[in-house]
Amino acid sequence: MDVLVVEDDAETREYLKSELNGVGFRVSVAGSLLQAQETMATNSFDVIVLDRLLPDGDGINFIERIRLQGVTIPVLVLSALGEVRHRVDGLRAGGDDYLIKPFDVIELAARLEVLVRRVASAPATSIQVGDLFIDILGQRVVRAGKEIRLQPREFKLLEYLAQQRDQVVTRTMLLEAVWGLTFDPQTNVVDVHISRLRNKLDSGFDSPLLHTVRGQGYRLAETA
Amino acid sequence: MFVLILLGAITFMGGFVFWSTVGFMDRQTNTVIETDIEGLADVYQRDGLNGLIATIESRIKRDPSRSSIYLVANHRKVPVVGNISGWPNARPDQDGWIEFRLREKSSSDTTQARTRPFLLKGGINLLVGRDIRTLDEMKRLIERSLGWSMAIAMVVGVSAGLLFTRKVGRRLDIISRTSRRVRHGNLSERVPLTGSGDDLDELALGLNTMLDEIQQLLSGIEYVADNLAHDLRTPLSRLHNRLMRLRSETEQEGLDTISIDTCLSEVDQILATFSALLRISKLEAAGQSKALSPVNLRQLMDAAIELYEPLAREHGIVIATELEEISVPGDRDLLLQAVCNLLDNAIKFSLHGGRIDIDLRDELGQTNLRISDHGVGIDHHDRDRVFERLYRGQVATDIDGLGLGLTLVKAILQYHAATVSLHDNYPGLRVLIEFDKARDDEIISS
Repeated sequence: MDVLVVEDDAETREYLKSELNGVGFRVSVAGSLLQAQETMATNSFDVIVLDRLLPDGDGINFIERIRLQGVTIPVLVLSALGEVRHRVDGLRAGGDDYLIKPFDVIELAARLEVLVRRVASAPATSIQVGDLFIDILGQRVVRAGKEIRLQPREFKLLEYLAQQRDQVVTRTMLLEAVWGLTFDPQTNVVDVHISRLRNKLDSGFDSPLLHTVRGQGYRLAETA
Repeated sequence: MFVLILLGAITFMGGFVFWSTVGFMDRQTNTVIETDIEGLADVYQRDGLNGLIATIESRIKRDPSRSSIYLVANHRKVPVVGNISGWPNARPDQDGWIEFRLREKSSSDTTQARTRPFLLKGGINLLVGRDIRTLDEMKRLIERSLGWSMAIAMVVGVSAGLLFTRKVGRRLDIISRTSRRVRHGNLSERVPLTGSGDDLDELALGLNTMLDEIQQLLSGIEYVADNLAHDLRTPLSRLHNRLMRLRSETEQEGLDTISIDTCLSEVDQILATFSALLRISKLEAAGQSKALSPVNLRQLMDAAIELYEPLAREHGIVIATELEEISVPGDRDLLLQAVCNLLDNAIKFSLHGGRIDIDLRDELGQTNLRISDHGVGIDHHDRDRVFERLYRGQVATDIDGLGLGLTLVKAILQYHAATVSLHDNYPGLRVLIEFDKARDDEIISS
């Protein structure tokens, strides 16, 4: 996967480059919007990581510009401006995701994977993970021929995890996608929801499907 | 008060006019009579009784309308000559004056006479006076006109005063309403000027200039805070990133990462505190927002409860709700964060197996949201302080937190022109949020 990181702080830029390299991304970097434009003219990218406050302008305006030019590459906006409204501005301008500094590279990588994959695959009507079958249209879940009854929110949680199957999904990603929350609650409420889902999904079966990835988040996969 | 002072002033003025005019007329009459007596006494001394009688007779003849009164009587007060029929029965007052009623010879008309008796040598009694009928009429006329003018002055004065007070009061009311709106965070409000350039306009102009300056200063602070956020968070983010890298390297070497994890969580805590403080300051500086779209509070509460219900159940806590269908103008994300913070607290400070009551009601046009727990509660003297930045109540010291949760709740609600207050739930804590509708309907008169 090819990612373009547009960030004016040299240290953060290099850090992002080496860290994202480490988890399997091919990374190009740009220190300004002008450089980004030049790099994009000669290379193709799967996803762009864009800082907001750059020496030659606001990243938001850059997104609007490239969208007008017909560029559809997903953009993740990165910024220290952590206000809700800034986030809304970013998404409205055509950004696909928004991450507030500081962030874990794990969180960034997980979100980039989701963005790239969302573009690549058409929305599925059903998802199969091992012996688990999720009928998204019919809102039904069956594991090894046995129907599992889920509450609407539990289904939404499972659906999101299944769409990112085999990938790490962080707590903040879940809060955003499943509950529409743009802030971290004081207590880790997501864990409780996950453990309830896990009870219904995995208890009584030999191999667990819903895994906790320590310090990172969760993953729905056949193997741990 | 104003009316009393006006009344006093008018009475005093009237009294003075009355005393100076009527009193002057009285004094002048007395002087004329006394001079007359002195003159007649001189005639008596010079020409004797016959001379006196002759003088008086000639005077009576020259005064057919009898405006002057003369009477000469012997030592037993039997009349000798004069224009009245007999010596008056009344006794003189302490200044030596006798006033009596005088009846006309030909009709039943009576007039008032003011006279002064004088004893001449040889036991001759002399009575000299004036018919004061015209004087009395004059007095009454002055009294009447004074009375009327005082009454008119009172009416005009009081109504002018009331009009003036009303006008000033109305303008003061506009000023105080503007200041109230400013206090509620709407710093762009200004006092309307009438253009008359009077004292109140001067005051309004002064206030407006002051508000301009405050607004400018505040936007300066906001600008500095924004930059500070960016400038401080960047190095902190770097520190966080370096620690993360160190952690993965340490892990790869198969070494223990506990101390690095501690540092990481410390840095995260600093960043979280900083972000929360910045957010609170921004909300406080933003004042009351105007561009808000309706947020369905019942749905909002349902979403928050849905998120927290499993956590509550894990603590053996039941959440009981009574929610009416109510919408308020608001920012959904912010309101959700506020109620999540409150729910979080309610669960954190509840006793195991307790109950949390949430009710949302329209009470007399005001939207009230109550979140009540049966937990440890908050000490009476701590209830205001827990809204302060970084303050943590007595019972909270054992529980994780930044001491900013309630501060943020308050800032968010202020942004929505709502108030939050803490009450005893016997036992536990009851949080009351009041969304005031009245403020939206406020009409500005100009």
